[in-house]
Amino acid sequence: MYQTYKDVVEFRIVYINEAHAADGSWPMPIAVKKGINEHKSLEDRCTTAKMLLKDKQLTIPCVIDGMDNAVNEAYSAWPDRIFVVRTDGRLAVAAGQGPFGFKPGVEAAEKWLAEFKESGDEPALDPKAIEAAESRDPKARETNENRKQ
Amino acid sequence: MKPLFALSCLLLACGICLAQADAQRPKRERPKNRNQQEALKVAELAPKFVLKSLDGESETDLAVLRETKPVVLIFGSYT
Repeated sequence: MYQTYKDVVEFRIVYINEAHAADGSWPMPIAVKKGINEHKSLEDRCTTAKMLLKDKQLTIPCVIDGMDNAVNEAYSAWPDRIFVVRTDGRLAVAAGQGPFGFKPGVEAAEKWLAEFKESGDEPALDPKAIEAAESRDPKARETNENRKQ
Repeated sequence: MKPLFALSCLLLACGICLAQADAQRPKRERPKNRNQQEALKVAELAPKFVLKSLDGESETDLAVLRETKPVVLIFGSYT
C-alpha cells in the first residue's frame, strides 16, 4: 500500500506501547525472543520501533507516541489501528481497533486511496456522517463553517 | 479414594500458589482509551498531534502534514 500510494498521500507509522510485551500481561513468543519489554522510556520505545522497521524492512516514516500515550489515547489506537485523515482534518477512514478491526481498516483505506489516486479528488464524505460528527463535536461544525467562508 | 483426595489437595495448593504469584506480580497500567465510551468515527476531526520522528531530530505536526496531502496513520507496535 505504501509503495503504491506514497506519492499521493503521506504515511506515518505512529509507534505506540507494546501490545504483547515479554513482561506484559499477554506476552507473545516474539516479544520473549527479542526481549521486547514494556517501554520504560522514550528511548526504549525508539529502540523497539527501529527494530521493527529493520526486521520488517519497512521504509514508512515513523513517529513515536510520548510516554504519556496521549496520541494513542486520543485515537483509541491500541493495540493497532489505521486511519486516513483528509486535508480538511476530518477522518476519511476510521477503522476498528486491532486485531479484528485492522484488516478491514486496511481494506477500507486501500479502497479510499485507490479512488483518490484515480480521480485526484478526495472522495466526498457522507453528509449524514458530517452531520453526526458535528452534533458530537461542535468544533467540527466551526471548522466546516470556516472552510465554507 | 485417598489418592484422589491427595491429588485434589495438590491441585488446590498449586492454584493458590499461582494466584498469589500473579497478585504479587507488578501490574503495568494500560493506556486509557476513549474507545469504550466514544470511538472516533468517519467525518470527525482527527485529534491534533505533534510527535517526534524516529530520528529524534524532527517533529511531525499532523495539522501541517495534512495541509497538502491526505495522511494515512498506522498505529501499532512490534508485538
